[in-house]
Amino acid sequence: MSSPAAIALDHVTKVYDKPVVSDISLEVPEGSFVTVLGPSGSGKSTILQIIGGFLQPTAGRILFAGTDMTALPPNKRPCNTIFQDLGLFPHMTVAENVAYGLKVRGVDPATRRKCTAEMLAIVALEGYERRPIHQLSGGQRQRVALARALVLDPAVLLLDEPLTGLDERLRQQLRGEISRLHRRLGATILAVTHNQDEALSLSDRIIVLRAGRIEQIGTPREIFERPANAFVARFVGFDAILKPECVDSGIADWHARVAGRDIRCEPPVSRDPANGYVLVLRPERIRIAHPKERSDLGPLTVISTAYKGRDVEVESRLVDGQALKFLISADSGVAVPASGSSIEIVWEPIKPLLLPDALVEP
Amino acid sequence: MPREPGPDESAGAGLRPAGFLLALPSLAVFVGVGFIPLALIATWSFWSFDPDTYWIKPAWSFASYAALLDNGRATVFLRTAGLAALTATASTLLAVPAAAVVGLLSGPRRAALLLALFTIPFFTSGLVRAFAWRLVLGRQGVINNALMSLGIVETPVEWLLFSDFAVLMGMVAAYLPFAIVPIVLAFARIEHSVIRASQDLGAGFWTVLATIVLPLVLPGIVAGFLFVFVAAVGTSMEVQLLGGAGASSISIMIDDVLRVVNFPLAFAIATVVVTVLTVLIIIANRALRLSRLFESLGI
Repeated sequence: MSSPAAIALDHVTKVYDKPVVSDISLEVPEGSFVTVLGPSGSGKSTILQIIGGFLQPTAGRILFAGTDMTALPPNKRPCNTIFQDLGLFPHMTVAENVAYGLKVRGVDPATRRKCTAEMLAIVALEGYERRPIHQLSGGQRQRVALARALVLDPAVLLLDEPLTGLDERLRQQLRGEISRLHRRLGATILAVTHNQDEALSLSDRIIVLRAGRIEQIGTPREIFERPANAFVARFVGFDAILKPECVDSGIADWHARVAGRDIRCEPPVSRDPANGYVLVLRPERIRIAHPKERSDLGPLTVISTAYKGRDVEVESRLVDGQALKFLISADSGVAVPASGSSIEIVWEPIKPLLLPDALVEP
Repeated sequence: MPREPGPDESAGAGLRPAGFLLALPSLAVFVGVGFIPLALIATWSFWSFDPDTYWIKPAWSFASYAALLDNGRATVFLRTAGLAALTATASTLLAVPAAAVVGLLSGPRRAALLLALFTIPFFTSGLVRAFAWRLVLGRQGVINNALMSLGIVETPVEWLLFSDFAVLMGMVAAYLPFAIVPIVLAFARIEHSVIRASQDLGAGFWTVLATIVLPLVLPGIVAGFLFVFVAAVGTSMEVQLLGGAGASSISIMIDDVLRVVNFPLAFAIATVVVTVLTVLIIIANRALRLSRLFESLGI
């Protein structure tokens, strides 16, 4: 790499009673948007706090543009964090909030006013300078927090669950906002989230975390199309997961046997995983076979169906007892199977992926 | 993130008939034991008093108010206010660090324990506590004995007891918890995310203290000061038990005037004190929204 990464974590470990973060090494290149994706308890917030300087790692180093800053306190680091609870100053106006960091740095009042005004314009909060914080809506508060951090032109902006706790409309609006700011200001951003949609739509690169360890690093497309294992697959929405009885390698396709049926699969990337393979499918790619159609899998007994607006979720069971959930279109033309009825399903022309099985959630 | 009510929501929807009925019991208590007695006192302070016959006539007069500053009463007013201000200042200065430990640095369990410890002195009567200071500060008291046996002084230090210093000690000890409670509430209202955010934006320890913590705790400090000040203005016990010869206070003065049955004058003094204190509290509340401190208690 030509220039050092804006942030690099070098074998970082954090241990409380148990290790929360284990031997994490990652890099955030200058100008990129990297997301750490993981369920709650995976250690993603811990990583953010270690980078921000609010926690000291048990072992490992944190480098900003190649310089080791592991020992520096939060106020001496060239990064700014927007925590989930924002921490806007309730006794200050919008403008005072945004100017705070400049004032602490001893920037003169004229420059302070100019930068604050510019940044408020960027986040579309002109005219709100003198408003007290408690008069703002949730979305406006988020934008004040963004402006307050970005006005300092941080080497890296850290976002802690930036869109969690907002309603859907606001979430979409702010997602666009963050994306726009990232492009316009060329800011380097590291976000943590448990929401795969957020991660997929915002990031250049995603790091999937599980129990303090990195499961996969890749572009959103790589993560979504080629998840490294069953855990990552489930996390990015491959909810239809089956455990095959046996797997045979072939020349073009591989074959897996599920409930007595032979299924053609994509060849796996990794060979001979420790816990065997699972067969994964996107639940929206499955449909119910017509009576005369050659099916890919069946018979399945329908346990229940649930109307989800755009789709109907079908919960079914194979003859070997494995459960399979999938989605069928809720269009009026598609018949919803009755509970207890027997169906066959189709997913051709796509082929299921064979992925290494992940151990049961810790 | 809990959404704070907007300006229109918090302004209150006014009392609807059902709300009025529900508020009636507390309103009745407030009017019965608060407003009516005060109104009577204020009214009677304008009646006339004949010192020869001890007759209180329902004839409007400002004579009592004219007599307020006679016979050295002005000095008593000023001394009482001064001593109360000194007590409130000392109590507040002591209360801020104590409250910071309770409200900012302790978890809920330890905070509850520490608050309980602060209230234990109230298990004994104030009279006993004031008297106890005599045993500490007296000529044969704990401090003088210690100083003499250590050879620091030859004869007992006289100004320890029966002095303004003794009164101050007694009052600070008695009213310190009044200052601690509102300041604890103010500290407890500071969200840690706010402090973390200011550190993140580049503020070191002292900057956080000066720009975030102090402004947010200021309403609590003013409320604590006022609580102690109001209590100290109204006290007589510490002055009587620990004060020097001729020491007086507004309460003692009222008591003296009541002894000669000059009710209008006593009521006039009381009315002035209540008015001044009320105005002080209203101004402070307007300026700093002190009432918000107690919102977290659900009052």
